[in-house]
Amino acid sequence: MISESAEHAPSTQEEEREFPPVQQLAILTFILIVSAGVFSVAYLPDRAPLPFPFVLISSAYVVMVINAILVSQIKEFAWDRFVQVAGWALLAQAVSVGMIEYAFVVDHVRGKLLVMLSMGLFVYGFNVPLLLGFSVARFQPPAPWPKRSSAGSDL
Amino acid sequence: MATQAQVIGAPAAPTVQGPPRVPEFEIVPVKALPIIALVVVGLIASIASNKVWALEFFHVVGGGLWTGIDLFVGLIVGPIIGRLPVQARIEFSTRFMPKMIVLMPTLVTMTLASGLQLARVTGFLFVEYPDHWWLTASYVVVGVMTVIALGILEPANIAVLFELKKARPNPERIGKLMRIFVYTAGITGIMQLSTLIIMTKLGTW
Repeated sequence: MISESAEHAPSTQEEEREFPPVQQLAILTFILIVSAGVFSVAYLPDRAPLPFPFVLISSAYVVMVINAILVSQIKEFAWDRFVQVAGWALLAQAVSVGMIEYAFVVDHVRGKLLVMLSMGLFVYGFNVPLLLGFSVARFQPPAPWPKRSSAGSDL
Repeated sequence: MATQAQVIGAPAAPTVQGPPRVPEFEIVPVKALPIIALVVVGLIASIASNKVWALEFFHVVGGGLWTGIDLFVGLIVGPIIGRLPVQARIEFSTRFMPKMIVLMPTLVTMTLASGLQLARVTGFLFVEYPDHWWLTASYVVVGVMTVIALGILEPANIAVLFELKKARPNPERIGKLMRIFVYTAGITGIMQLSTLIIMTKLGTW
């Protein structure tokens, strides 16, 4: 029988684990995207030159893909929690990104500028679930990728 | 958003003997989702119709609540909760933080989406420099707050809630995550003050 204090004693195994710098890379991705956005909007009423923000957004893409690869390579990870949190966050992001994209279209943003902004939104939309999923899963006991939608009970 | 931090993460208060009891709670309060859906629909309608009153409503209401909640909870509620016993902090946090998870992103989306559209419709977006620097400053402030909120605050917030859901929550880990909150809360609180300065300046043009 487990005593009350032992039952509530935290597991130290999870504490000692080291992970790749996923959070740092996700923050770097945010910084690149936000910088591209601020640079573009700061030029109004003139049109901002596109090459510089395009470089920023492309860099954000690269960082995000590297980050996703790093996460996928983690062994002994709480994939069930990752999928649960990232999945719901992705749904919320889809609403948010969809609304912003809609505003761009309503405002007659077209051509290369729309492509660039959409790319930025895409990165933003995926970076948040990646980060939130990782942030929760890193502190949870390892579990395999869920086969069915069985991990949603806590929400 | 910042302010949930001070709930658990504040300097140590008198501790209770034995392990803290964590009450049942929902990480995402499902009952709030229809209200949020209603707000999102209203926001889309206001952007689609370009009605200044509707856009102004969403921007002023959203921005006022966002700034007010950040400052009030960060400067007034947070320090009070910080002096409560651990059990009381947990009781408060398990009720308070899930609500903040749905409330703050909704307010931020309301404020920013309607704000940009409002600036476009009213012509604020197209003012020339040097006046445009005020707008650029607001973009920078919002940009930094976004990075802090999405990159540090929100992940820590959600991680804490999942930690509290465990059969054996790790108080050390909760404390560590909450300390991150406290520091970032200070930064966003100060930035909210600069938002107030910028917005009141724009309001008097």
